[in-house]
Amino acid sequence: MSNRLTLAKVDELDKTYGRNHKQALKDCEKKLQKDPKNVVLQIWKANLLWKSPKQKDEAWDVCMGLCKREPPITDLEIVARIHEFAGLVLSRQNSSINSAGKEVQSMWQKAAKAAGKNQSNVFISMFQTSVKLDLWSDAQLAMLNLRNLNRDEPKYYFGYIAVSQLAADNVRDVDPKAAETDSKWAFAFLSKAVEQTLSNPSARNAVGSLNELRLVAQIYRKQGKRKELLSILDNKDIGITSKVGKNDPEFTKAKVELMEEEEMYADLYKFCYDILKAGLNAPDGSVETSDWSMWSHLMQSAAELPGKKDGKEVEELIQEYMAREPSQKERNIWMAYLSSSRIPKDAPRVDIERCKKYFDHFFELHCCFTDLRHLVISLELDERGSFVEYTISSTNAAPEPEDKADQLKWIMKKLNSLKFEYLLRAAKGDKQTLEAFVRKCLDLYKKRYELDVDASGPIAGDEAAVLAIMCLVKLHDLTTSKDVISAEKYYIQAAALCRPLIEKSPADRQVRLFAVKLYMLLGLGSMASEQYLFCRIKEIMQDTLSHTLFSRLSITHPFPSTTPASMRLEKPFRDSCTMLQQALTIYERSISKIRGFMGQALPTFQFDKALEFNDMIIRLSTSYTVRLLLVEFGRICRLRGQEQSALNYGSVDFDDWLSKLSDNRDDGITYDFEPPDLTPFASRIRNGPVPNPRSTSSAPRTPQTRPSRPSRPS
Amino acid sequence: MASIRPMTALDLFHFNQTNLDHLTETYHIGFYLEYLSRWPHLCRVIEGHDGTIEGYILGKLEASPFPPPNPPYDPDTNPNPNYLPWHGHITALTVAPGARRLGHATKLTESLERQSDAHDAWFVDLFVRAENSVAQELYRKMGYSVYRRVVGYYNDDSDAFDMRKPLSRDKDRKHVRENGENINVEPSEVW
Repeated sequence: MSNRLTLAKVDELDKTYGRNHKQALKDCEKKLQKDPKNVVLQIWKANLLWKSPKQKDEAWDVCMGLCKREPPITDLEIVARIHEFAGLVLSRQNSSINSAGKEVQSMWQKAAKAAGKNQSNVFISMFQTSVKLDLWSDAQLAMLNLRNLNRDEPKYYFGYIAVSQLAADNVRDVDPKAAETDSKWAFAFLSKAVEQTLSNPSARNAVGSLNELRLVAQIYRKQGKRKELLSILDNKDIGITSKVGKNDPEFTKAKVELMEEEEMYADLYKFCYDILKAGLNAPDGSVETSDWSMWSHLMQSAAELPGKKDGKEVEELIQEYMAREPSQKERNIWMAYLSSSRIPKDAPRVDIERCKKYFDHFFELHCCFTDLRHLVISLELDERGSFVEYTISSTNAAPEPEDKADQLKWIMKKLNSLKFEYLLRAAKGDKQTLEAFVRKCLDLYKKRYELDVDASGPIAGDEAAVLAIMCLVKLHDLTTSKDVISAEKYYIQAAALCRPLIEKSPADRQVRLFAVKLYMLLGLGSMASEQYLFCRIKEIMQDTLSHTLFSRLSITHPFPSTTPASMRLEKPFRDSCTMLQQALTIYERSISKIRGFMGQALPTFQFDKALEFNDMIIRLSTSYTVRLLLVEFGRICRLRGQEQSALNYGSVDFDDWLSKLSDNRDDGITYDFEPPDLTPFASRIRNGPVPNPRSTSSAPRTPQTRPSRPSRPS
Repeated sequence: MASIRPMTALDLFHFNQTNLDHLTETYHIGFYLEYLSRWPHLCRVIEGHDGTIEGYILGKLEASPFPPPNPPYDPDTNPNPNYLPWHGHITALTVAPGARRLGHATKLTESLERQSDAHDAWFVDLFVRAENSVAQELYRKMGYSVYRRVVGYYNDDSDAFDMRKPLSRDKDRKHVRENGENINVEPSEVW
């Protein structure tokens, strides 16, 4: 058989024909007449037939003919290409397939048989192709063969287990029976490895490394075998303290989480208490004592145990820690000190005196407010007022220092006091209260720059201006029902205040994103785009943050910007369509990279990470953000009267637009000092309700908004 | 309060608090996946009480990609001070601006040191800009010292200090030295 034409040459030839598939098919058939057994030409023919709606069955027949070919095809690149084609065809009919079919699997088996001693290479190639195509049953078969051919290599044994679990996870919704079988296989082989380890730690497929133990933990947890996993972690030959576990804190944490899930509160309490008690004797504490999860699980379990729920024993332990000088700096112990009075479930309370002590100790740090806010909000009404007065008088009593480092602390103390005042008083205040509070915030902000402390961002008092902006927005909301035009002045003041905030802290991207939201609310699309540009949102952060600019961009800024030269808006950011296209590119690129990574790494296949990476692919391909971006793009094209060009839109299934959505949007970046019973501030400056599936559900059914589907895989 | 745990791939959806800091670089996804798959025990995040990621560290274990001058490697017989034996390396260490001065950097670094120690590394090293005295002081307090100055290491031709901390395997502290700031090497001599 002559294969002078390589796949690369045929691909090039195909490109020259562009959309003229009919002519390409004529050319292909002409060549096949001269060389009817040419496999490369037959693959090309199958691809060309597939592009014609009436010849898809014929395309499939060609593909099946190649799979069943005798003698079998041994060129792995060609075999992989046939596999890709079959996978593409079957995925059009059912997006949840796990395999390209028995004929394809058989094609690989025959290629392997023909390869003699190099069978492993064939199955490695099969595995890589299958992973790239997201066909986990095929990957499972490849790994099974690799395991059988390399019985002395534990990585294939454990790799087979991981891939079986992946196969189960990927078909659970469409074929629960097959998923159940694959899950059972995965568990059966894994538990066998565990048993072997216990009877003979040096057995061939014993659990002997952190990776393998991690896989055990992952799959046992996934399959709900929590009690069994706990006994493994406690085992001296395979568990946390063994040569395998190496006392890795990862497994200690897993143990406490499992005990909590199993409601083993007595064991959990004893475990955490003993560790923390022992930590008292370590000169600088131990790894576990500086981990909040130990403290939180101790208190949680105490609350559930009849004999411990008064919290007395926990309180005594905390006091022992508080009496030690080094622990005065340990935030975890301070938080335990604050939280212990909440142990009695029937009578939790917050101790205001402890809150004041915490403020006195941490006032110069940003965490002072974030740590205390959820506690002080639970104080009685009169105690809340008392706490605010305490922070105000404490800050007023401190004279303005001369030393630069002390000045920063002084600013932070005042800022933290302002935040508590906002949380407990001003946030629900009337017009006069809010206006007075704005003046207070601006006074502090001006002071911060008079002192010229060398710092920026959240540690430097910039949030004083943010608090002022929040109050201005609230003033707008308070007055808009009475006088819309006057109310608007508050919005303009808020937007104007963003400018010095950004100019004085140009590196603070959170401030810029805050400004993006505010500008979009006011319809200032170009200004919002400019700030978004400076944030340099890229790669995975596009999925979590791009909604900040792009939500309803089609309403605010559908046409290219004609901004003045003074605005440093780079070319792509002048056109909303271009910006959207750039944001959309990360999806297919990232998913392809992850798949390629998983497949290429087979010689060092990290089976314990395979499940995690697969979860990442699912998160990206079911991301709500990409659908939001596509809808905005479609709307902008319609408004401009433009044809919607083909997009690189990631692995969105338009036939299953809204199922299994993963909403990765991050609104936590917007500042929030609101009490929990008020609307979060992010909602106040959103230019409409939160876009949700209902708002995008009709989009794909409109011909104008539906982009052309690129071929897969690319 | 803080809780350290291994970094997972899904954490990339939740690290905005740290990565919006202008000094923190956001890499393409393959960069993170390589670290997470090859050195998962050296990639840790530190969380606040509400589960927010307040910082993370990415590290690796490696040695020079060529055999030592006198195999097997022994610091007493190694003539090439630029040869890198098995060691831990801090590639990225970042703490969210709002979570600084809480000891997070120290806790994350210590966790990497413990893991490196458990894997028989001789030392842990890192590169820091020669003009970044704040970072250098942070690491000095943790027991690191400058081993050498790499001239023109960064893209803008700035020098880097290669700082090291010996681990328990290096009982005699053979992999650190005094006055490393004055020992210049070219980037080509550094792997």
